[in-house]
Amino acid sequence: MTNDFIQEALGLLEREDAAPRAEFTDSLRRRFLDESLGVAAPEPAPSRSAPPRMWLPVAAVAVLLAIVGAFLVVPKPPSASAVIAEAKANFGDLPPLRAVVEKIVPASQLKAEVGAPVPDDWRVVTSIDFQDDLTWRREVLKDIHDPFTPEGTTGSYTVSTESTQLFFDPVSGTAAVDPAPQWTPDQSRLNALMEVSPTFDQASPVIDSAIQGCQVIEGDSRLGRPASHLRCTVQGEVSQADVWIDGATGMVLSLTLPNGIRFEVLSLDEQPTFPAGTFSTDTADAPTTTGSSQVPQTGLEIGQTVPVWTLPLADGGQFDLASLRGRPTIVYVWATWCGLTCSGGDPANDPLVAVDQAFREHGEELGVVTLAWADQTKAVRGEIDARALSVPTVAVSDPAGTELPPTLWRSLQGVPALVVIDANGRLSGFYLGDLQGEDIRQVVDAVLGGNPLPDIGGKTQQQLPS
Amino acid sequence: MGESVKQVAGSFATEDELRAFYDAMLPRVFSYFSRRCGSTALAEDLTQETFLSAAREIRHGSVVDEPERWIFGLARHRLVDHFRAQEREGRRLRLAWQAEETTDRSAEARSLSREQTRAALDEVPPAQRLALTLRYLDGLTIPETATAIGRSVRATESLLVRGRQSFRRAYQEVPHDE
Repeated sequence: MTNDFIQEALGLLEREDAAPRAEFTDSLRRRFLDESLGVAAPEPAPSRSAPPRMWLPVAAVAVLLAIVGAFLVVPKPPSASAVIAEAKANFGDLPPLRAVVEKIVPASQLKAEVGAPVPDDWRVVTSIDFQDDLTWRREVLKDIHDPFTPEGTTGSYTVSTESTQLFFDPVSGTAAVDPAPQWTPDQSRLNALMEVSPTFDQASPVIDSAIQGCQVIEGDSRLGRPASHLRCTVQGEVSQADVWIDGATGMVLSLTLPNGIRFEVLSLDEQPTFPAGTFSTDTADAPTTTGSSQVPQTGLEIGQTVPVWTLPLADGGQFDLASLRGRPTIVYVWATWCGLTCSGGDPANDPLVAVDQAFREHGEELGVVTLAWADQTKAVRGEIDARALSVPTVAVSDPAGTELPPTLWRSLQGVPALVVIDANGRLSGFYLGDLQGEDIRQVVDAVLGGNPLPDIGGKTQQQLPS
Repeated sequence: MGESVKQVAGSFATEDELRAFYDAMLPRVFSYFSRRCGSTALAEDLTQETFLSAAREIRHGSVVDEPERWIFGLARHRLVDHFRAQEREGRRLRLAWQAEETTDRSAEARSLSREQTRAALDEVPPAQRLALTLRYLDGLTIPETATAIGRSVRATESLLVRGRQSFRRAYQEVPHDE
């Protein structure tokens, strides 16, 4: 069966006749017209105990506004993209820049995002260093790892565009510097992190697609810089988003969404002092990661020795990767918060189950371990129990990867991933992105048969040239 | 009353125009959801959400240049939200599937292809189903699909590959009349 088959089969649905019920059509017509025109009682279920007096002033204001609206000539509000374009027109050569950005997510929203209990006000403070052109800045902005820390509430990073990454965890006060060169953003990781982006250009569809149109309101400076203050209509929301855009860079300085999520640039330093070597290479040709054929460089190349680690097992005890030396090994990297992307969505084709099967059937000749990344041990144990897994599983709680050797952390970059290591402890393959059980079985078969690793169709194989 | 509409919704000059827009679009939006979700109740819910969010935008003065594209854009967002919510529920659902493995496939083997397609599509996991729907029913390109669901092009391609596999598998398992 080909794609034409799918097209044809689904096309059948398009010819299906379905008519709405008349009473549904009529009642919705009334509500639609009332709410569009701002006439009384838009609430579907008025509160039984609401004191009637409270409604009077509100209704009066609504009617007044409607009347005033009838006589005012309301200018067409500029679109968000027009405002940003104007700000961008002010760009000359970009100086280095450091922004400290804070993201605040109300617990209710975060629960919806991760499906797990979370601390009350979840805050992320991110410090970003930039150099070079706008596109590059935007890409880097997108590439900030969203340091969701299940057991802590704060994480902070400094990310430079080239050569050096500095990870800083204010909770423990520790920092890790990874000076390995040639780091570039990776699309699959960007994708997961897009929501953190404090720009709302096309680069950030999460924000951009929701914001329909903006109106400039009073206010012309923020953080002591010329800025535009906007109120933007957000799709599906009654209240509006509050947005500040920097006049010089086009960056969003502040964004408060109706759902309570808030981005705030805490400071913007146009002449920051960077440690020597922070920007050691020319970034002018930095890839923009829009193409699908880009092979991201990672910290670890094929043929290089994979640094060993000893990490806590989810069900107690420690696991030492070095104990698997002498056997080819697969490490499946996943997370409970990754949901269907990591578990495949199809119980019969669950990658974790396939990994477990490899462990049970070939554990003598093949090293098998799974690594739950940025995860809570308790949640990991839940998933293990649900599937009755016997494969050893280590849980890494810190998303900044300080528990892993930096080069390995850089290689991982996201979940799910499958790391393939040869009997001598050298990296022989690396897959990043959705994997199904059948994909895992293919890889296992190739490893056991001593064959070249398969190029899994439609998935990202990040096998770097040695 | 009709006069005030002009000030808040660029393309709707009068209440009558707004009503005409609703009457023209409601059946189409309803069909859009009904074909994609297969359930009348769900299609009604999503249709209602779409028109109520449209009403809020109109009231808040959104300028609507192309009302038809606009309302279907809103509808697509509702569809994406719906499948996302389903996906979030997926893990719990998956455990339920494991508990009761058998689905009654021997029931009716009235083999209208459309019914098979519907049944097969219902078996496809939500994220894959959303990608297939946007790509093959809405006719979006892969990059457009990626933007709509907030994933990278590569992740979307991968989702489509898996979606097609799931659909084919499900389609073959659905009872046929040969």
